[in-house]
Amino acid sequence: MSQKRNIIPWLFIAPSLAIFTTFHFFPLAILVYASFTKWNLISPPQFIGLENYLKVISDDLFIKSLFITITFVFTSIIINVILSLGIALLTEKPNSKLATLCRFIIFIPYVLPDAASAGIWNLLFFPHPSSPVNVLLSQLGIGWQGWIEDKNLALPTIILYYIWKNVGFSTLVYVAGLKAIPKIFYDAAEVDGASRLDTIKYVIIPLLKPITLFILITSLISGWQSFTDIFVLTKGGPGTATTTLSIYIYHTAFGEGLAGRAAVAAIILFIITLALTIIQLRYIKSE
Amino acid sequence: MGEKVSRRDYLKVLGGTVGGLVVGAAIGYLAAPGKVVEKTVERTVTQTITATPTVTPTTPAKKVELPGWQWGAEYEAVNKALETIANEWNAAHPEAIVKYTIFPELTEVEYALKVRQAAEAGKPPALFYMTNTTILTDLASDGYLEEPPSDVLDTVKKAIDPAFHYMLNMYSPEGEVKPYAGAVTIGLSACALYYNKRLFSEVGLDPNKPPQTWDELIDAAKALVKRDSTGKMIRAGYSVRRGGNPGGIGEKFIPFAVGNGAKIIYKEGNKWYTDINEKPVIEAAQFLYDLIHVYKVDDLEFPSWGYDPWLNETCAISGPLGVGFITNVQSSKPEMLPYVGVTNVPSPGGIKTACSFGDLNVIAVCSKATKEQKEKAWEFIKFFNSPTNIRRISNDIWNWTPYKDSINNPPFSTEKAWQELNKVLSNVGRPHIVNEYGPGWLTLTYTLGENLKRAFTKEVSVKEALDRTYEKWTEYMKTLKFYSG
Repeated sequence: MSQKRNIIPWLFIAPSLAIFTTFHFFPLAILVYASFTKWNLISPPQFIGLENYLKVISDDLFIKSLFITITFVFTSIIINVILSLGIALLTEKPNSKLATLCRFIIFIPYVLPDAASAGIWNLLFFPHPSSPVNVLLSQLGIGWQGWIEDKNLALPTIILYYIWKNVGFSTLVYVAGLKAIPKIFYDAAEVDGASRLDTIKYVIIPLLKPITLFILITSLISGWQSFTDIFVLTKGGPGTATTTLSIYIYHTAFGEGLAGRAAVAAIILFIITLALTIIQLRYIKSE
Repeated sequence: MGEKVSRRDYLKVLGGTVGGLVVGAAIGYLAAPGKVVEKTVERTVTQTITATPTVTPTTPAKKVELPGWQWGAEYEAVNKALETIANEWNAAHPEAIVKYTIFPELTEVEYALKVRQAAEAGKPPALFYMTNTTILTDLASDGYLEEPPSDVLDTVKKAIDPAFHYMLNMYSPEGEVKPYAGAVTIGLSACALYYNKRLFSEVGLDPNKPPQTWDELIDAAKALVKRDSTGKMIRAGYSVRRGGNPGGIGEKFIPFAVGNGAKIIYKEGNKWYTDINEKPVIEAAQFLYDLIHVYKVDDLEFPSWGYDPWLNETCAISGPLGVGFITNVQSSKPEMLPYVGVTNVPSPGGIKTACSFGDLNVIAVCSKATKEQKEKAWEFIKFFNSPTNIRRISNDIWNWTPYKDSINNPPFSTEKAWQELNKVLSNVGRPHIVNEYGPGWLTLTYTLGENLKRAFTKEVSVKEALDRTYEKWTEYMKTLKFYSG
């Protein structure tokens, strides 16, 4: 009887395990194999050992795309966390219709499909004097900007886009976290004579640590893998100013037909994401 | 907490995991090709033609479906005409339904990959509708195109002006030049430059003397460029393509290189080579680079490329662009039509060495389709080539196709812009026979585009960009059966 009971859970798990294996482990195994081959996605792969690894590591564009990804991910995450916490603190008041409306408006970009929101952004920041943002800047006397066509502004524009798109979700998670903090902590702080700033610093931020870590992990993974929106907005350009690792992988595999090299870059991307996630999870555990 | 796990439990977990892995791997192996195709289809706009019977159908024998995949979204009028022809065929032939699908978002490389994967999965399209025949050159040399029966070939050759017959040809997998196209659908992706005659007059240039050489292009573009009081560009003299689909960047550059004597891809013995990092190509790339950075007739931050900047007069000379440019002016801003001037893609030797990017948009049949599908597909193409349908896809909707009857009838015989284009196309000294360019063409234009982007934004030198293109294309060619030395 006991033995039977122990098997049943595994029967329930087996279908999802099979699906997970099919769509995650199996492609991962193919990816690892492909990284040791010369392959164009159609012709039979030819085993070439470590050649792809050596070529990718010595490719200046790969190194550049790695730095672009790091800049993109870390800048956008840091700003996103600070901004969303700030918005959550400002809009957490219960029964405030204005606060609810604000949260709703901020959340809209998050639920839009990537291609659609990137399309909206493209219209707003179109590099022409007549685009809405440029008209506004001109009225303020700043003059119009090239945005995604300007190699110095393209990456900051993408970072701005990423924050606009994701700040709503992080805010919502923070608001939920704030609501979960028992009132007793605020009362205790008040009794101790803590100012609002002190309460934020010594009560709210420490208690929201698990929430912050959750946002960091999810943003980190999605940031590293970001593709659709960047592809729609800039296709990695101008030049290679916004070529992140995902865009590099796409160009190498589907444009240049060098799937083996792309597999190496994908494995490196996977290892970095995995390492960062493990570090963060260990940190949570130690806390 | 701290509960001891027995060896038996470990074995169960291990057994469950291994079992799941084995089952999953088996499902993955069986399902993988189909899944890939399905995923690609998600990103497309599908227009399935539903038949409205206008002709009494014959008794159906064996029902065959003819998936017809069109790369790229054309003008609404052209798509509608193609759809109408398919509709009428379907009404009369319920035993062979053409399922016309447009893939507007795929790049050339993605489309070709999709075809290959679909064929591997046993579900290839029967018909290729092309608005870009460079894809077909790739598929032809890889064995995906069926040679037309002689009667189909005769029909299409009789209908097309002889000057364009060579554009039906492509390289076979054996490296022989053979005709593969069965019908012409959407005209010719010829590359010409389109200039604004009104702006030419405004700045004191002769609107009837367009630039034909590199030096003339520099002079004209310098006269036409306009900046505001802060020095920011408000009108480009000439637009250098450096954004969007990398394949497009490479493709629009190549006429300049060919006009300067480059061969791009060529065959010697059984091997294919490229001169992509040699002198004629380096000089052409340097010329475009200089237009941006030395002569400053275009700014990298300024959106100058495409139809709209020309129509809005924020770019004075556009191209190389296809014949659809004029169709687009006619449909979007007809009042601009009298200002359309057409000239050849400039080359150092002028029109004598200029290159017309001859690229017929055609319908071809997939060699991997079933025998029944292929038979019906050729029948459909014969139906497509009827005089009524030719008129419908050309004269009726202002879609210039090189059919004799179209060229010699209004609007093409009367409208000035069309006449100028025709003159340019028939007078160029070095027709650029893109259809005959062999294996690896798409990959080369894509890789070239990616690297030219870097050169134009000063990330690497022109030479480095072209060396990199050479290195990557050569590596790609080694994955094919066509070895490149």
